Amino acid sequence: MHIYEGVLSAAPYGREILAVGWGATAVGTALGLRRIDAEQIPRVAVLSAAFFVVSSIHLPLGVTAEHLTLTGLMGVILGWAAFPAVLAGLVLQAALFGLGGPIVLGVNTLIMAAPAVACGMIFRGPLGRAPRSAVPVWGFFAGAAAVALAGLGNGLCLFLAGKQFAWFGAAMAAAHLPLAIAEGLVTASVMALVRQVRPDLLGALRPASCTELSDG
Amino acid sequence: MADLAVIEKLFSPTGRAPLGGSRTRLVGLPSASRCAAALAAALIMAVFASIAAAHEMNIFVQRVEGAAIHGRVYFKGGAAAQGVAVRATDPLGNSLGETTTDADGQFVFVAKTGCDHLLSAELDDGHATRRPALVRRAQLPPDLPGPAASPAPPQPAAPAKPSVEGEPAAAVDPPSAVKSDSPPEPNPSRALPSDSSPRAAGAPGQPLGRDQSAASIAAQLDDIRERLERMETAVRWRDLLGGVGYILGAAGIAFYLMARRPSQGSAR
Repeated sequence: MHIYEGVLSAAPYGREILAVGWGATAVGTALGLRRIDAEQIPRVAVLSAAFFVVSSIHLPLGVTAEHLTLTGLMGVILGWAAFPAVLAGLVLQAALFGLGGPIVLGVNTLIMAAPAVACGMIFRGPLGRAPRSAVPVWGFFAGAAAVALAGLGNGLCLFLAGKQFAWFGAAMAAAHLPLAIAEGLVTASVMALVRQVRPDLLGALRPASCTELSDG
Repeated sequence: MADLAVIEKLFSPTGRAPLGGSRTRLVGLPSASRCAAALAAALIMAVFASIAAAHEMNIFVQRVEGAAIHGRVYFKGGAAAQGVAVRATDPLGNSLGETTTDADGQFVFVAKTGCDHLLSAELDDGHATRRPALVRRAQLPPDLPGPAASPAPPQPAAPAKPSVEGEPAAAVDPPSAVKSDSPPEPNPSRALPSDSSPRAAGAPGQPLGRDQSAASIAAQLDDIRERLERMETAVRWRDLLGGVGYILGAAGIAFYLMARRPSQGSAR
């Protein structure tokens, strides 16, 4: 899901894509930072660290190698603060592992964080309000959608920049499908746990009574 | 033990602070459950870390036999990059041709021009080799047509095999077929060092022994390369911990900065 340093710079419309990426990332990050108060700092830090660790561990997947991203999780819990969290994770990846680079950082952040924020807006409400048994399902879709959108965004950026490649469209989605499913499963299980012990993270009110908490 | 008591209070209904009074909680602990969930996911992934292959694609020239450049394209960790386009360009950027890797990531590119070749590979989705592999003109048969009129001066090869000790003073030749980003390796063997000297221009039928020893040396170098990469991968855990440390450090600084400000209303 990372675009590599130099790939876009060499493409016909690459500069425009890079500029748009940086601009949108700057806006998103500013919005995200404003919404972080002292209460939020630990969760932003923990999720950013988890994102960094998990997306540095790559699993071979046929021709290429992919990684989990946890962006669905970040979007639901952090909202706009997903932008600075993803940016921090990607900066460290570029600095320590050379994955991506300083020029393409804006586009990479946009590709991963924008779907996260979108999924957060769409799924946070249902995850907070739905009955507990439905939470894993919503969580699955939150995670899978975030990855699917990021994959589409990746393909779109490469396509718009002028690089023609035969795999665009259905094939690109197909390549990310197993990844989206894996991400969905992880997000579903994490969401179930979060809803059980920390529903306030999803915007739901913490139940006051003893009996409701002890439900399954 | 005080930690345990606080954690218990956190998860018991009566001990919970009301939503508005959350500032009375200890800072790190509200994240405990999320921490645990995220760490559990990361640890499960860590089980696969030993067979993990990274995004990064590398291209390695194993040997040059006559005008045929043999090499391999692989992902960091050793997994073969199958069906990948390998492009050759000259140092000025002109394209010299293209080939594709097979199921094991191996490719053979037959050079038709007598010049330095830069070989790089690229996947459709943007994965590309960071640094191209270089095959110098001196490694190719001298009878190939050059890009310009000037013929390359005959340069002695730097032999890696003991069987050609007679080759004069060639040890200073820098490793010509350079792998993209592993630590520097000894010169990969060349099957026909005599090709670079003027007297054996395109001589066919080198003794079988040379091919075999060339192949075995290439295989051993492959093995060394894979071990070096596994070592590099092992070092990565330190980098992961370092990265996490940076994030937590940034969070700490943010806390400090926020605490220094005169108390303002909650940002909600």
